[in-house]
Amino acid sequence: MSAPAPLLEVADLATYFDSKRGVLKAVDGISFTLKRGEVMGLVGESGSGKSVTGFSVIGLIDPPGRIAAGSVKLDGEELVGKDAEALRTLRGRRVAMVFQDPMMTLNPVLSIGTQMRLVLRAHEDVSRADARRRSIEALARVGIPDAARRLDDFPHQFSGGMRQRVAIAIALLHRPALIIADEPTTALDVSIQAQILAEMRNLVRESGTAMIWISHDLATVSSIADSIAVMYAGRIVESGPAHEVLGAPRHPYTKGLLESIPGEAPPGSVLAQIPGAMPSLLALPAGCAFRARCTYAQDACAAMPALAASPQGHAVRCHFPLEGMR
Amino acid sequence: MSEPLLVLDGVTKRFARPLNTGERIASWIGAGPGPRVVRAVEQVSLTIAPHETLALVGESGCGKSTLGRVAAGIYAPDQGRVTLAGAPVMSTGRRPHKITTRVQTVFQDPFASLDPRMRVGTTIAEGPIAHNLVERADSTRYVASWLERVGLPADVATRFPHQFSGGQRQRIAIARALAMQPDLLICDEPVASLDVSIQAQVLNLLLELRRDLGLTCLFISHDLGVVRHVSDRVAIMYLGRVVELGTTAETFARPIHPYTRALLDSVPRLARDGARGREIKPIAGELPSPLAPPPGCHFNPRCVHAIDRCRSEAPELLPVAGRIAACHRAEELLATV
Repeated sequence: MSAPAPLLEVADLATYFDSKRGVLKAVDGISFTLKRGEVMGLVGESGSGKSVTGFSVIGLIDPPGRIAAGSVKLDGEELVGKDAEALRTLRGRRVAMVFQDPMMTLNPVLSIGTQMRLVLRAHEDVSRADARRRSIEALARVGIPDAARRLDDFPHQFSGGMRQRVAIAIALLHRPALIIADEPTTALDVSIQAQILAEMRNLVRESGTAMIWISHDLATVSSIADSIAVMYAGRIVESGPAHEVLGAPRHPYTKGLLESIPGEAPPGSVLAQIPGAMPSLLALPAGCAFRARCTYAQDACAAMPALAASPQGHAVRCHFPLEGMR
Repeated sequence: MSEPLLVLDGVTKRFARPLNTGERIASWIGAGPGPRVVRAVEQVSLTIAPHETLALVGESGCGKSTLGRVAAGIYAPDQGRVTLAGAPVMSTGRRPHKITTRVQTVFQDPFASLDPRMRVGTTIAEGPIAHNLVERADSTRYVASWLERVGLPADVATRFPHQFSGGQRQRIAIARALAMQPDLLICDEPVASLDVSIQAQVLNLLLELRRDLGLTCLFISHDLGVVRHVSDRVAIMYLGRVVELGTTAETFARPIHPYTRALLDSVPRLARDGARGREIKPIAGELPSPLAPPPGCHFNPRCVHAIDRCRSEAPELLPVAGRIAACHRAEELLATV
């Protein structure tokens, strides 16, 4: 089986933030690839570096942050080191982003129609009428009823779920090859989350768009992702096909995360818990960053384990990986 | 059955949206629509038995937190009564206030619920000293014992909240509530703002304290996984009303009300075998505005089983197969589970 060229190739990416208290290594040498139409779940707790990874891919790292090393290739084209102008022609057109809070990304004083027209005209020469027609199509595609009328509404006139749909419609306007979705359903109610999940899944399937779905919620990720990468303290500790990572986790951290989800365990029982908390990124221990919380840790863990992959593409960064914990 | 500890009897809580200038002028000259009223909680009756945990479940705007605050003596109900072990939780009169110390609350956001300028020890000791649960001279030891109970070292007392992570702050908030020696602990989304690995730690702590101290809990959450794990009984709320009430095990296994069913179907479950595409069945439509809830059963515009009667007549909470549900078609639907 010859592998087609990947859409996105991230290699040894490192994003650091310079602070008064030292260099904060938010992302410290991560590598992954994404095929066309593939949905990758990027999972981790707060401070794991999952959002900064998304921002780095789309070139949204501003000082004091900097991409310290590594490469991000979209369709073979290197993005790291490109100037702001070149990145701007790419953002919104070939790569789009959907954020957690649509109220922060939509302009409160412009109507939705105006905002969508601006997005279209940023990359294409479209007439007013064409822009309107395409905006209505995009809104209808994400399930906004009565799209033609709602185009003249302002963001505050939409509910939280509808606002997130608008943000998704804007992201889809230029039919990007890649969407980065950063916790897009976290702020929404369960019933609305279910609607958006189902719609996003259909949209990327129909359009062949690849997606990085950033989330702390393994259950949500499991319902949309083809592959999963688990991040801890700036590094990928486990990655692979979703059924492998969730069904047979090999890193103790992944296993701990899965077991600590209530709803899996018998009601009222003591939940398996990961002791302690994520270490400060300014004071990471040498070697495996998880070792202080790990029940399997041994002396060897003071040296950084390499990310080793199985033939099925199931990779784990651990000296003592678990065997088939099904 | 023993006497219930907490009784909520026909509780209604409304909030009026203040009028803007134009509307005020309009109402002066008699042309305005009058104040717009949200019925956050409408005619809710619930009881909680001693040592029981009742969960209140629903989406944002369903009134679960408002009901929790009425039970906690933070809001006075507009109608109805709240009693704890037979005694009223709030005084009556023009300015009702809380008159019991036996109900305490743990709030969702430990960044907002702890005074940033007060040392942790002072925060925890303040209530017990004011209510003579402990002598001031003895308070350091008292605080240390509660900190230990929630898994924190005694020297935490001399520090400020900003020096702690979310999970540690929530432990401090739990210690503050428990130091008042409550009979009823109200937990309003206590783990919603915490990371998954920390969530499990705090849930385990709550379960352990509940068992050791014999606490009764009202547990408010939108997270059905958490609710299934911690509660004995569950009340499902929709737009200010309880639509279903039953034991947690039965309600999750055989939900009666169409809203309960839809809610359970909406929750993404962990598909560990990679059975992606396992159907999430979203509920159609959105929560209606609580300013103008639909007539009849509030859920009828989104309900696939709605009939004409549901659009005109609000269903009462009635017993169905050992539980209670507010649905005109409960009996029929139960047969289809």
